[in-house]
Amino acid sequence: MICLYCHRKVKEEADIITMFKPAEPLCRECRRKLSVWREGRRCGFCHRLMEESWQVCPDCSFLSENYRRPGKIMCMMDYSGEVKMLFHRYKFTKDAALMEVISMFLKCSFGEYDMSIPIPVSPARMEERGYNQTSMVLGAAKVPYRDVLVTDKAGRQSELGKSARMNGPNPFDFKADFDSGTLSGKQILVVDDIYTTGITVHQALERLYTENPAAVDVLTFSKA
Amino acid sequence: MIIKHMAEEIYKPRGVDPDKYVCHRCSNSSKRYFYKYYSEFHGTDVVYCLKCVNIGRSDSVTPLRVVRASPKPEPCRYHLGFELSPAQKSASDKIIEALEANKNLLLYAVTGAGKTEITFEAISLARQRGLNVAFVSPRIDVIKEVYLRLTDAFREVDIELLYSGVKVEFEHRFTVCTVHQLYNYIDHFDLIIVDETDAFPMPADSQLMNAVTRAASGKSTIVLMTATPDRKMIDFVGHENVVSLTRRYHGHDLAIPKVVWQSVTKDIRRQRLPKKLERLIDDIIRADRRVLVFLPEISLMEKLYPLVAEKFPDSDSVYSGDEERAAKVEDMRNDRTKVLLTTTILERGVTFKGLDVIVVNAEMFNTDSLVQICGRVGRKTDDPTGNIWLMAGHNTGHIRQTIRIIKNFNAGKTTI
Repeated sequence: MICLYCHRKVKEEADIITMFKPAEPLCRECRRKLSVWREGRRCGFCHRLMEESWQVCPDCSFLSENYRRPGKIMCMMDYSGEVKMLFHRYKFTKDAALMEVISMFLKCSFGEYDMSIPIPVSPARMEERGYNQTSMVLGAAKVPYRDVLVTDKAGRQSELGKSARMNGPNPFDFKADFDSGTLSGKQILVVDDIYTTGITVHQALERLYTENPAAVDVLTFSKA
Repeated sequence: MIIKHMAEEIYKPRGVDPDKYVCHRCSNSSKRYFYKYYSEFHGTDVVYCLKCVNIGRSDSVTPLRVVRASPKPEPCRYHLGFELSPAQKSASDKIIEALEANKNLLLYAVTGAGKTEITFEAISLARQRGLNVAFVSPRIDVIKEVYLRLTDAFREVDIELLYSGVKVEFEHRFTVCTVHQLYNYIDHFDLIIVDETDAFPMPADSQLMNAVTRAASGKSTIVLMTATPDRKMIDFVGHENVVSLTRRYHGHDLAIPKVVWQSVTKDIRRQRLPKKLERLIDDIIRADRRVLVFLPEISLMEKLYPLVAEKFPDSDSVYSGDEERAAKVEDMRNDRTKVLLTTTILERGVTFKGLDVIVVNAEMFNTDSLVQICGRVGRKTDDPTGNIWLMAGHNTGHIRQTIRIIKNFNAGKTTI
């Protein structure tokens, strides 16, 4: 067994615990590196690192003014240092095996939700990468999910300004085969890979809220 | 041929054979280093190679494409700020002879011999004839350092430094890169110089040596450079093609390490700075010198560093994954840092003035590493020697062999 992150052999000492646990393709050293959270005060809602002078999180106050917010945001990794490298390799060098590594960091009670919905990728991205990075991780974690959304957004989100994204049309839509009413009264979990300013996820939420779900929470693999 | 993602010509219909588990790009055939998953997008299983995924994925659903480059001679002048010593000149002539005869060569040279400069004449000659040249090493730090020295000498020449992930149009005629990048070349380079051939992971990974030979053209010269050759390297070039340089360019003896029998394990467990270590560092700072303290593991460094920093405020620590690595090394150069704790990452390619070296837990290092570490000391003409202390709990064959190699060099002998 090799560590899918550093490709070195995983040395697993056999003891009473490891004997009954399936071996994991991530070595202890890499797990430690990927578990690092930057020190500092964080926003209680979106987990953004707060600067000393901030009373409230600027991202959250902006989003609260413009969008209906989710019930809560759960975040599994801190997008910096080694974690940044992890996502870079997973998304841009197409090292799909890393879906297993990311899936090991998911600590979330998926069972509490009626449905997990991954944020979709555009056809252009799909052509390039060959997979939806978010649903692949859910698949690796054996979490059932439903693709109900599609997107046509092609450009890198970071290349667009905040207001340009805000004022433009919502890039998300329901899939052609989506039956209206399936979300009504349901507990929904929306899943994304990297939460930066949160605009993307809130645009997806905007669509989903039109179907009157009982509640929508957000799970993001990492927070920038 | 150069393997290139968007090229026209198809070299292999797919990068990985999904039934036999063979990667056509890097020749990996060890099943453990392949990953298989079901791709909804392709509607089939995808198998890709984990060995070379860092330089662009080679998989079972994408063809390997190649471009061909035509030879192009150029004047390729260079200038050196000094004259080669007679020993350097003779080694340089040997490389040219090898180039003329399309033979391979092993340059077995002491640390600080001025190996890089010895290759300049052959490089210049090869480029004038339109031959493609690659200067490679397993270590990215070594490559960056070499690149600076090459661009400094070959001022009017385009030298390409290859990084993984860089999407620039290259000519591939005079390339500086890590050995891993050679996976993208087939039958292309006529002169390949491999610096620090003994560095990890070259000796442990026979696939990398295969990459070098596959990247080499039919009529080619491969020059291996190392301070600690192993049997495989000598067999690769043949005994008669080993050229040795036992003197440093400045002509002074190598410093011989002094062994201090002291295990630090107990002190560190009790969160105390080992007394002997403290005294050594203290003496070095009093003498207005600075010191690299080598440690076998990051975890040990993390425990020792606060203890050292408490006593010696001008200290720092560095390891391979350190984002501030370059800045910390620069601080050491500028004399802002006096004591730098490091893993083996700084065993090669760095030169500091007025440097002494301490190796903690020296019994855990191998000969290749120890010889390199000792070679950090006394690299400058105006500071040609220094102190090396190996702190070891017990003696090892590697420690004995290191001292023997260094004494032999000083006596003008090689240790093969």
